[in-house]
Amino acid sequence: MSHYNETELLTRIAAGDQLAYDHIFRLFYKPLCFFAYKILLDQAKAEDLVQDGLLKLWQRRGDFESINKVKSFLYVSVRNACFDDIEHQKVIGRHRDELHRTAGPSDENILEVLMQAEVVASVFSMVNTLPDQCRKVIRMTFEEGKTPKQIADELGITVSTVSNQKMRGLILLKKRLSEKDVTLAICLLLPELHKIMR
Amino acid sequence: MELNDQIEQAIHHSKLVSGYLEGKLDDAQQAELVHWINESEHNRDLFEKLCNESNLDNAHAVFSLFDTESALAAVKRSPDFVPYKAPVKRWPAIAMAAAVAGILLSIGIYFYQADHKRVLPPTAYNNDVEPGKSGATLTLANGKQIRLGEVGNGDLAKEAGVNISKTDSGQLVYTIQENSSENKRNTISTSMGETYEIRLPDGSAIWLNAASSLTYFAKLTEGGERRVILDGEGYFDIAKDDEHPFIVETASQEVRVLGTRFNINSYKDEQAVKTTLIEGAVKVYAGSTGQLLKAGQQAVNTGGHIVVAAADIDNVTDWKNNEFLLDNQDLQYSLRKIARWYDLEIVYGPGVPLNAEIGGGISRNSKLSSVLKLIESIGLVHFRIEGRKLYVDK
Repeated sequence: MSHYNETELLTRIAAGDQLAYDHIFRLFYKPLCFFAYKILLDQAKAEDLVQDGLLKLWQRRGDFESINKVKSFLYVSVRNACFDDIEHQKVIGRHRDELHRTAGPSDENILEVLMQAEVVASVFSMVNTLPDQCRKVIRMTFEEGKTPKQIADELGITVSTVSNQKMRGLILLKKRLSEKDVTLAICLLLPELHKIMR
Repeated sequence: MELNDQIEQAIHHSKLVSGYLEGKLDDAQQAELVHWINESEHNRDLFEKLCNESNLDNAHAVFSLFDTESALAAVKRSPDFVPYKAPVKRWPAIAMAAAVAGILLSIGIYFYQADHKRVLPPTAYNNDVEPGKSGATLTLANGKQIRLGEVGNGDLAKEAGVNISKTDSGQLVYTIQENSSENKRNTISTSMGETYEIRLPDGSAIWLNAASSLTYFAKLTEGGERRVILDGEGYFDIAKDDEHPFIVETASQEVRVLGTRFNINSYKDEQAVKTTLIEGAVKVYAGSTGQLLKAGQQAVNTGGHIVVAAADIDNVTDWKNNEFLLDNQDLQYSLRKIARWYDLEIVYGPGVPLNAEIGGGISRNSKLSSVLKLIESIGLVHFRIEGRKLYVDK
């Protein structure tokens, strides 16, 4: 992904564009909740802390130079919030039966949980549910910014097959994203999807 | 190592592991992953744990405990969420799309519940229509008309000084022999559903699309230039001859070339005459001043006014490669292309999104039903064939 593309999105968020923010929210929410939940073992609390972290992101929206920095900011915030909460619970004197940790989860454990969150999020992402060639064409078109001719040459297929697979991929993605979740963000931002969304 | 750095590293390694599982790592990334795994027993165990299928499934199940939408709504309701009032510069939609699509895919679009779309009625056509084929009519200077199809040589050759042969792909090629004494003016024309390939004595090749015609002079280089007249659409591969510029004349313009490849679409039912340059250099004249084109550009001539723009070569020359490429073109334009090849009359019903852009590609050798099914799969329109009439409805 080129810096230019990322910069566009970040600039938009920095400028206060809510649609761009919504988009980031939807991308990061679940893995962050998984992460927090594994530390706290409390679903409601995990969600609260993650929401706080994402709110902080909005408040600091101009501060980030890359999406990776945004991600690490979120994980660090959520991790700190979780640890603060555990300390707080200890101070209040509450104990949970499931928790046998007196020292709190180690940083090593934290990193493992983070990696699990990230890997699961990626592996189960929508694009991976697409049939093989579809997925490759969609990836090469949107992620790598390749032209139909380049893709055709690389995959050893014709340009018209590339065109078909792209269309097929977008239709399948559209089918698999519920109306609510897709929202305007994706509709407005992916012209092809917008065209086939009526 | 500071926490921040540790987390950034962990994020980076996660990308390598998921990239591995998704089969999209390049050599450098693979090497990096292998190095990381071999660094310690802990890393090796962690890698195995992360790749374990049931671990992945169980973890994924946890993801579905969380409700993103209500969370987003809750965050927005918070008094600390202050909407920013400054004017936002409107970014071009395409740039935004590319940005987000890139992020979408590099980070991952999450799995949401399936959307139950309304099911379109199964397509049932009254009849199907065969694709067009190679064929044309030759009109001689004296007005006599000869059908060119599967005709061999012989009398035809004598009459018009031509030679008709078949290429490997079965295309009929009409080669003009420079042997006649008179400079006769002949016209070769295709009707709806026909296409033809012509070779000129100088080695130039011209492909004629359906419903088009090409008028040429038997003595091609008469008068210091090579001049032909085009009506409809043609793809030109012109042999280089600095002494004799090649000129393609259409009703509203003249295109002058020295040696090059280009496509001219001058169908009367299209709004503008489009000249697309694939290679070489041409000058397009509508009036006295000529517009120079560079390879990859297109001259759009609307009533004598020419505008130059970048061209999508594949889309423009799809017909010559025996395909329909429908990306980035509106429904009406695509259907006009299709109508000329299958010799159809199009009837639009109310509410059809005429300017909707469709997409896809298919061989021109397909039956009409296959082409229509491709377009219908997008879910915007519904077709009905009755004889040579194509009905388009919402």
